[in-house]
Amino acid sequence: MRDETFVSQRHFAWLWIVVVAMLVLFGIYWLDHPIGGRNGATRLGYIYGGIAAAGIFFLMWYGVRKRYSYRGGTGTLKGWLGPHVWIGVALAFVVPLHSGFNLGWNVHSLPYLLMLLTIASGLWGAFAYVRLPSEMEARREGVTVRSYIDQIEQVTREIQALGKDRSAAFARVIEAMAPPLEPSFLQLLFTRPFHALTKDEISAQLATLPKDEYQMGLQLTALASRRIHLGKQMVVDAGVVVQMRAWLYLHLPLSFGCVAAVCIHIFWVLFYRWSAR
Amino acid sequence: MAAGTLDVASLDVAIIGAGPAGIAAAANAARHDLTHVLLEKGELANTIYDYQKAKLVMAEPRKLPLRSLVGFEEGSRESILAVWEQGVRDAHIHLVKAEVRGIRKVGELFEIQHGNEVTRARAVILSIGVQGTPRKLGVPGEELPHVAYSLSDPDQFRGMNILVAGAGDSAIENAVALSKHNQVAILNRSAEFARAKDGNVKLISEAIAEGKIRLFANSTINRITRAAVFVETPDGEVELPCDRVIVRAGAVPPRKFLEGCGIALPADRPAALPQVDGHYQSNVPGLYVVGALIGYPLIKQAMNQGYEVIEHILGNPVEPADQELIKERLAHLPGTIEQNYKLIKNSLPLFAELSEPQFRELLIDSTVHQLEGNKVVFQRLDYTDTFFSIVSGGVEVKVDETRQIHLAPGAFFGELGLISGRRRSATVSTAWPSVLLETPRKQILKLISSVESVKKQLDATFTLRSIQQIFPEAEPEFLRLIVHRSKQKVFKKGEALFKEGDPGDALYVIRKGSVKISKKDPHGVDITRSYLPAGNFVGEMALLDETDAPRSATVSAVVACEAIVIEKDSFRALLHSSEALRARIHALAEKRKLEGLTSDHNRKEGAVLDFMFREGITDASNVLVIDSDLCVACDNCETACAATHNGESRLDRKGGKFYAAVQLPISCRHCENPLCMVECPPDALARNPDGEVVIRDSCIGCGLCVSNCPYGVIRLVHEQKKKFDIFEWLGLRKRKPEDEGPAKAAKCDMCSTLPLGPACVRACPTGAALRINPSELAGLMRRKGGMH
Repeated sequence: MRDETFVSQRHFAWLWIVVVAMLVLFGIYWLDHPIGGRNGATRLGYIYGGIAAAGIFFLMWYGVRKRYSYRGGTGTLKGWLGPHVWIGVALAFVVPLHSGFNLGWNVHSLPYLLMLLTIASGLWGAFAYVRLPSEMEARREGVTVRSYIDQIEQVTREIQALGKDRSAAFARVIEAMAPPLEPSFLQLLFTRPFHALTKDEISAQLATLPKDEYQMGLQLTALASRRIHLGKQMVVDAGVVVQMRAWLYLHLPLSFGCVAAVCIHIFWVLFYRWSAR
Repeated sequence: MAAGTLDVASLDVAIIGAGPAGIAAAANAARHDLTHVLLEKGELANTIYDYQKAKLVMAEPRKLPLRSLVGFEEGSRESILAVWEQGVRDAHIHLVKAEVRGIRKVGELFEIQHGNEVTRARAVILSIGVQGTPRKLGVPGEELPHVAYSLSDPDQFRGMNILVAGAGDSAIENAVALSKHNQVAILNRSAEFARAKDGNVKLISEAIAEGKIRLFANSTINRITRAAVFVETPDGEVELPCDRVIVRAGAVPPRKFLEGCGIALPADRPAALPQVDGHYQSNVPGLYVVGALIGYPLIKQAMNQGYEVIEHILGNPVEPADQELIKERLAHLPGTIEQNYKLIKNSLPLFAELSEPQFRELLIDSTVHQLEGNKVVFQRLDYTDTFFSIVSGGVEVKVDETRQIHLAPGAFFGELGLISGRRRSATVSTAWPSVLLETPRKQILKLISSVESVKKQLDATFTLRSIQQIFPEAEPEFLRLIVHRSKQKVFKKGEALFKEGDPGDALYVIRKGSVKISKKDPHGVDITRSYLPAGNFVGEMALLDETDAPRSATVSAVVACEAIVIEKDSFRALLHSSEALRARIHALAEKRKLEGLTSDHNRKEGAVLDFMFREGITDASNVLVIDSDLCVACDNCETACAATHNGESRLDRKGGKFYAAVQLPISCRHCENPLCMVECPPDALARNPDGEVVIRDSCIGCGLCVSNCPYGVIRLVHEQKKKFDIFEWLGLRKRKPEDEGPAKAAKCDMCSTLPLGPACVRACPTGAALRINPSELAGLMRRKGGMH
């Protein structure tokens, strides 16, 4: 059974509000027949431009609400995230209505392009937030990611203890079987597990050991494969966390870029209008 | 030191012993131009002189005003000695260094023999303290040269094995100081350091926790040899290699000398102190005894007494120094202060054995309420923790609609508040106009540890009341008999009180902790059915019918439990004593039996309950949980917590336990029975009226609560003195130690100061973080586990 998410909260109330509002905006747009055709410089164009700007302000305000209203603020952050998502999606449709579906490769279309990229990254984020939490293996096992890391450290210590005062060959086998498990950002993002030795490779490694260390070598193999297995689970779970965070590194800069571009757009339009008088 | 000759025929007063009391008396005598002498065999203030170097001397009791002309305030040994030396000079005190060998009364005059001289005086003040004769252990080997009874410079010992025997302030101070350069063990006859001051309890607790000092609690010394001490511990005798033994077991009065002076002492008690009247006069008229020798070990009390005796000798009326504070406490009552003081003292048998200053201190720290009839004193389930005594009038204790107990003057209530963090178990209101004494929990705890009769009476009452609350229909006198015949039993965590199929032999009243009830399913797997907290009884079913049915379920302790065991025969007699009681118990047993037969208990349900016991949720009042199906690991909960709590998060999202997709991150659960509160030296842990367990500013950072909390939710955090530093923020400057305040314990306070509730919950973007009560949590776990 799934609980209400920020997307679906209150029976998708925010989706329905946004859909109705969009239908109204489309209807008015449909009924309006300005002289000179529909574009951003008509009365309705300015109104819709204003609505879009207000929408952007609301979306950006979410970031402020999230970071600076820990003591007070209205409602919960979850309550704010629902409208943030749905109004964000709606803006992709409000802007074409504002411009009368006029698009071109110019400074006035740049904000829209950045807005679409922001919305796309946001949708990725929303998808990640809804789908990924239940993918974490550790949580299904009733432990935390940190416990994997603790266990890996424990096994590593056991391996080190096993390798104490042994031959140089044994040290080389440890090096091959128990490499450092420090995943890179990309490895986590794409959840690529650590390389585990094949059975043949393990046999080859064990063959290099002096006879009296062979039994120890088997013990080492057991520990090392457990370690690699833990490493794999750690990568999967830490990978989920990375995926749940990575999108924000696009979403935030793009949103600021979008706001900057919108400012340029508004300044440009008003400046021309004023100087044309 | 001034040396003088005593050519006066007879002095007004001779003061023997230049400790705090003697100095204060001499200074006052000198001010009034009384001819006097202050005789001292050793150094000025010998006891304090013998203190460890740079020892901090405290000025307790803090509220008591100081009357002496020679000053005294909290400070180092050195600074206090300097003030007194100066004070003796400034006050023109006639100080003579001589050891007094005897005092004899000849006619109206006292003859004081010192050295080869005799001084005559009309009055004598004996202020010699008790430190001159340290208490011995009475064990073989204590006469060996490496066994000492004092320690002035701990730095002279290095790399030795040293045992300090004692649990008072001096023992703790010596042990801590010696532990810098030596292997130190401390031996305590009891389990706790109840006699020591808060600061010292903190020091010793830290040192023991860090492994710097080894503790032998509940232990005694069997014998001492040249190389070792044989210590009797609860686990048997231990041989401890030892180069030096320092015994700090207090001191005994110099009995022989006192008897030689004509002072009467009871023959049967070797440690008995001289008895004095309200003006500190002994059975020998004109011979006054003050200070530690009559049981006032605190410097401030001793100095005040010295001052007061001189006033009395001069015939001036003297009120005790704290009289103003007593007046403040009693001013609002009708009648004179004196009448009311006597009324309160005489009407409370619980405090009958308190000494005068102990009682005065209790009164000063308490509040006297004058209430009309039918006024609520506190409500059931309140979180207040003060202790009430009934001076006059009477109260009704209402456990629920049907169960009421009446209490008369002299009785007390609110004693459950003494068990840390318990809610009030009943509503108490005045039956008619009443005068009640409300005393803070800490004050009563102090008396429990220092006055045996208070402890005994409270213990007996605890047991009786817990039985009375369960069987209110029975006659109180009959219950007293039942209690008398019952046994107390302690159960370890997980231990079974009884097992399914056992013969039913007794009823168990759970006084402390909680138990779970489990029954085998058809496959023989033990499945948890329910649990019962303290204040309930179990095991009645097998006792009710005369056929001696076996136990129908297993009952085991969820946490450490204390139970009152009432044997089958006693219980049956109890049932026969009251028809109403018999009917109620039978009805309850019937209900429990039916519950057991009809409810659909399966393994999953049992697993939910087991998880709740294991993680202590059954004792929680409010738990932070994270729904793992919703948590996106953004850590905004921790950020919000840090932002609202001086930059330090009090929850650990990455830690804790899971059940299905429910995570219990490491965060305070505001337990019903908070172990953190137990033993907090400054009593800094408290309950808000809404139930949150919070840490007050009086925290001394000793870390006892950190180690007492089973859930690891309390941490020691350095207070940040400086709010924000731009250079630090830019990474140009590092935070210096002086920017940080002392460490204090920190934990979740449920954001009780914020109007909208916990910041962590409100800052969660996906609604994964929730603060809920245990039954809501059980519901969530059942839902997540696929149950309904």
